[in-house]
Amino acid sequence: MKQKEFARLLDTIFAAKSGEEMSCTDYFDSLPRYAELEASGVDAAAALPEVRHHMHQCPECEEVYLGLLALVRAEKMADRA
Amino acid sequence: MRQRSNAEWLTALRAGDQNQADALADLRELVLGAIIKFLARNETPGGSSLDHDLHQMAEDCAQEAIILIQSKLEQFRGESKFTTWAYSIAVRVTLGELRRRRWQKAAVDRARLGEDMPIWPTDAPEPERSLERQQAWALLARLIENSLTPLQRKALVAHAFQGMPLDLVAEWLGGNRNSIYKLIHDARKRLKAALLSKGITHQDIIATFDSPRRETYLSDDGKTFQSQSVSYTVESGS
Repeated sequence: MKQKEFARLLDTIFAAKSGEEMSCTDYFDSLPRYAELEASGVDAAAALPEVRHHMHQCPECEEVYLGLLALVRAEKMADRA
Repeated sequence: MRQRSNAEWLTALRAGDQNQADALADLRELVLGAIIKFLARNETPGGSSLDHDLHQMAEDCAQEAIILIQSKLEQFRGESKFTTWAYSIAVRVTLGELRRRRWQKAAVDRARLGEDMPIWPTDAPEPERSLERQQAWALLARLIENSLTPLQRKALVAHAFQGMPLDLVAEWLGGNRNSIYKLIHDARKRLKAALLSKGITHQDIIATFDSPRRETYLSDDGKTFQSQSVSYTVESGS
């Protein structure tokens, strides 16, 4: 495990909320909107804080977001060209 | 390729006629193109073109993604472009396959899955293991051993320390991705409570293992805790 991965694990322990958290399924349902907001320059984390929280707690789900965001941004640039 | 609105995509993909065949062909082109871009960006040096194996993987993932997209049309909520929703499924399928392949090659003793805590959690060099860090790790390892249910411990150790993907943990332990995520969430809650009960805050433990001034999601969110003098000494019998 890399140092930063271990630090992330420690972060997720202390970021754990006392109640239930958004599931991966609900996260994926909201992710396309989140990525489009972010690619449009909107503060997606402020608009959808539960999605942002899940992203922090679940590195695998964050990886999907980063891949999707790159695609959405590339498509936006292609549309402008 | 024909431009379609969200409604036009949904109508065409359900049409059962030539419109559906045309829409499926366009969707396949878009999804395959997205997967190839994703793999080129993340799996090749300098974003170069895919080798035969990766290209075959892209084709297989595109096929799986198209089947999933068709089966989930009712779940599309219309909150984004249809193609963005389709890309999210494509990326998810592709990352799932990449993780599965990496796990197959991982040097983890399958007989000890969910059991073996590492002697030291990171690949940091030996001089980095100060006494304080060793004590902090010993305490955390002890809490993982004693504060969690056997199932929580298995899931956390397999996923976080042995690198087993969540979907595969779900296949291994039974359940689905959501139930395993919840299991690990419950494990985190227990560890957080146990650490706080010993007077150990997020800031303390990050300062021990990492830079205390590092920006984190927790500090973004205003949830950092007051630092204090802290001892990681593990009490006997605790």
